[in-house]
Amino acid sequence: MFSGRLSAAIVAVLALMPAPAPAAVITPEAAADILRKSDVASLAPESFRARLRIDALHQRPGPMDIEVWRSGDAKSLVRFLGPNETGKYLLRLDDVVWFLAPGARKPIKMSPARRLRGSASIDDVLGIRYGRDYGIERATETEEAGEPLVVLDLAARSKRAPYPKIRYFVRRATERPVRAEYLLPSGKTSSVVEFLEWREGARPVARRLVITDRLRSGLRTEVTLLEMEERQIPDGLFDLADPTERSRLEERSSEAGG
Amino acid sequence: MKFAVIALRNLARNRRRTLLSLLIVAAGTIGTLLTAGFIRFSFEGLREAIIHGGIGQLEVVPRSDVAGGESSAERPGIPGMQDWQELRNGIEAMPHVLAAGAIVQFTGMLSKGERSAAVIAVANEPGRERRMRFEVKLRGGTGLPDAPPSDGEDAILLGTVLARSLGAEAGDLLTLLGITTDGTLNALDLRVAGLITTGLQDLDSRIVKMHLASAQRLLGTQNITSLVIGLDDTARTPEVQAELDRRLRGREPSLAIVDWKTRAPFYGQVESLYLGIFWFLGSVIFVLVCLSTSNTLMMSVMERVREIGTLLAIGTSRAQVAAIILLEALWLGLLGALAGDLLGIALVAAINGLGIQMPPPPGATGGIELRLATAPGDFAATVALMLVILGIAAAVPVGMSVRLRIADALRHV
Amino acid sequence: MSEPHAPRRPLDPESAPPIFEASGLRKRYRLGAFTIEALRGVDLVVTRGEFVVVAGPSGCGKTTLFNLLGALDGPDSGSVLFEGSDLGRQTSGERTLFLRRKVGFVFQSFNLIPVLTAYENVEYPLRIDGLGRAERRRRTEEALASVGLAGRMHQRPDQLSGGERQRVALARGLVHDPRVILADEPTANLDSTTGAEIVDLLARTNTERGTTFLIATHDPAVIERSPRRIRLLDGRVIADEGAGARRPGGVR
Ligand SMILES: Nc1ncnc2c1ncn2[C@@H]1O[C@H](COP(=O)(O)OP(=O)(O)O)[C@@H](O)[C@H]1O
Ligand SMILES: [Mg+2]
Repeated sequence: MFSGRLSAAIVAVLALMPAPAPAAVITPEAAADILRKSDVASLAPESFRARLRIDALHQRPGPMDIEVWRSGDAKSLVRFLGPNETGKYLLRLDDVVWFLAPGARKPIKMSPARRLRGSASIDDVLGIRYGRDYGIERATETEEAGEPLVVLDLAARSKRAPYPKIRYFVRRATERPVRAEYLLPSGKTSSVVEFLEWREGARPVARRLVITDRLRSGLRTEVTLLEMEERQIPDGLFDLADPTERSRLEERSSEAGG
Repeated sequence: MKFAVIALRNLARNRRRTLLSLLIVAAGTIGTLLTAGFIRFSFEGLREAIIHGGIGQLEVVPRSDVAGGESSAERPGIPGMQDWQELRNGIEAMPHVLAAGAIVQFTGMLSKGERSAAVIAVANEPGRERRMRFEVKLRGGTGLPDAPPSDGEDAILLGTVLARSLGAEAGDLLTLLGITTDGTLNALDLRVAGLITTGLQDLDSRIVKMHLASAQRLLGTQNITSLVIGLDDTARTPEVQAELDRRLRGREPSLAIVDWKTRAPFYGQVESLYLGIFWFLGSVIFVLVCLSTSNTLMMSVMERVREIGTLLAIGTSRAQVAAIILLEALWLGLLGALAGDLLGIALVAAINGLGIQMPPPPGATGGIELRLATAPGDFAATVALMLVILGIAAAVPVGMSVRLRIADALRHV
Repeated sequence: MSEPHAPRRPLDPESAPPIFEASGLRKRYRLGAFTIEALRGVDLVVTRGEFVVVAGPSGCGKTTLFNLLGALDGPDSGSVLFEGSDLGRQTSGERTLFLRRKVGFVFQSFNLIPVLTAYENVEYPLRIDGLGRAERRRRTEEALASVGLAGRMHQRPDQLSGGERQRVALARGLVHDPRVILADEPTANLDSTTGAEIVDLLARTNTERGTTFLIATHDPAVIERSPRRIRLLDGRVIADEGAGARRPGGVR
């Protein structure tokens, strides 16, 4: 009786309330365009050599420098530049990552999700291909600090995708990514990458990004682009079995150092 | 005292009953003696197995690495102990110290071709381990050579279960992936020298052992995780620990000295389990001996009511009467326990001589030979225990004899 | 405290002091629903050195009376004075010392301690009284000699005849030189010849040592030899014959 009247009243009040304003919906074509223009990995030059510094902020050991050689979508090589790291490489051929070390005769297969330093995984450093491995599930618009952002909810469509779901925030005005939230199958956020600085040019490249590990008490890792040069890369550098070209690399850098 | 003689002669009156009581007391003594011997055997066996399995009696670790004092197997990390050579030399010069072995512990990924497994790696100095009388239980292949391996000659021992899951055997070349002290990846090829068991199934699926030099090569450091100290006698542990504590006080960075018992909380659990069993069996023996002897003491008092009345009538105090009954009980306890101890000595010798094989304890991989570790103190202890039991057993008969009314007792037939 | 009652009989010319003064002694036993009146008001005075027989049929209350006189039990009413002091007021410690030093018991069935030899049985009262070894030995041997058992003192009771056992019991009762011996049917378990020998021994001891004797008996041979015969029936004194005569020797 009484409860019946109460529920009637609640229904009445709800009916009178204004419906929430629907988020501005973006057409699928527009969304696909935004993703293409903001896809960091695809934006990067086809073939380049870069030096990166990875620093797990406020953690020991300190920053680590690496050199990244990339040739096309399929081949990349990470060279470790630390004083005791001579001869150590990570080699990515298609989606398989190999670790090469002077103490080990054979390359060791690695998971791309393996952390290099702090929360920075191999994937984070070599880039996740949003455009290639993910499909847009939903595109909405929101506002942060007075700036309109496009939010793309991405879902993995390839086995190579490291995370099942990504929420990708892109600044409407510049079409540059602001951040990416990587979600676990449970829907829980595992980590967040914020793109903080850009190297402008014909092909803009993120110059500083910070990865926050939401699973490990907010551990923050900063990745900084120290230098970058667009250039052709000899294919021998990516030869899994033959280290000749790579050892030439070591010789040259030791000459430069000495 | 004359009463002791009277009590003894009273026991001789009903020889058959006294013999039965003595048998019960002796059986209780033997039971206690064997249980104690078995439990001490278990403790000592487990203790020495733990210590000589690789943790030594004492371990020196950076204090920052000790969290709640658990085993170092639980805190693999970056080896944090620097400048340890001189410290080691000092420790090795101490009395009762056999050697102090450097240990590096870390986790890594061990792979053989496509197969790989996460492992706990323990790197040590095999020569020193032998001096500390540590045992490597080889299950195939050979142990590690004493000398540090040269570059490219690194060797590894695999836990049996781990070897099976990797499909590896002696002679195979495996690659171990680890994180250097700089925080970067490194990998090292190691040839399988042999397979080992720790005695614990769980650990056998994760453990690998190598020479200290191999670990230092892989991790790019001269630091170690800890120094493990082997003593000539485990009983010396507290005294050496105290002396070390004194020597290391004020040292920066601060070092902690952890004893084997703290590092092997498992031992404490087993100890309390076995002690529980001992107390349970002990209580059963206690109650059985107490009840049955109390009963026969009661019977002998009942038979002597008139005699006790006479003793009281001719001026024996009630305390003296109580003393006679109590002394009878104590004689039973003493003689029964001595007989039990004599039989016990023979029985312990016989059991130890037979070499009976016991099934492996839970979680362990091998059986052990049953031996009873009876200590000289056990004999005195069983005598004391039986005296206490008989003293308690005498309570009711003594109480009864003390409460007798003389006139009634004298009329008693 | 003044004397609660006057002695009934004229005292001996030598006016020996009373050793026992019992008055109004009553004792009941409860057996389930029954109450047995074992003593129904007994008055009694015994002077030092007397040789008294308490006679009466079985069940008349002799043992009950002796228990009260010997402080082995307490009366329901009435009192016993021993040399003027009330037994009912003793502490248990005092009672133990009284039993140890002042009285000696001789029982119908001897009541020797079976695990002790004749010698040890006799020595026992001295031992619990804490006497020195030499003194114990002297007195024990003397007591055994006085009962004519010097030769058999290392036998256990079960190796002795009834008469010998009762001699040992008497020696044990006498060894600490008590004021009084309470002998409850000392001859009932003996043949008449042996019984007569024991009575002789009691009488001689009374004469020689001056020890007071109270003997409970229903044996006519014993009764007729006593100078004073207290007859008990159903818990009452029905006759007190020959009062005043002190030495049994005089009868003979
Ligand atoms: N403890 C007792 N319980 C019950 N009755 C008793 C007890 N002691 C003695 N009596 C009874 O008291 C009466 C007197 O006994 P007692 O003094 O032993 O006589 P007597 O020694 O002359 O044979 C008897 O009827 C006896 O049965
Ligand atoms: Mg009687």
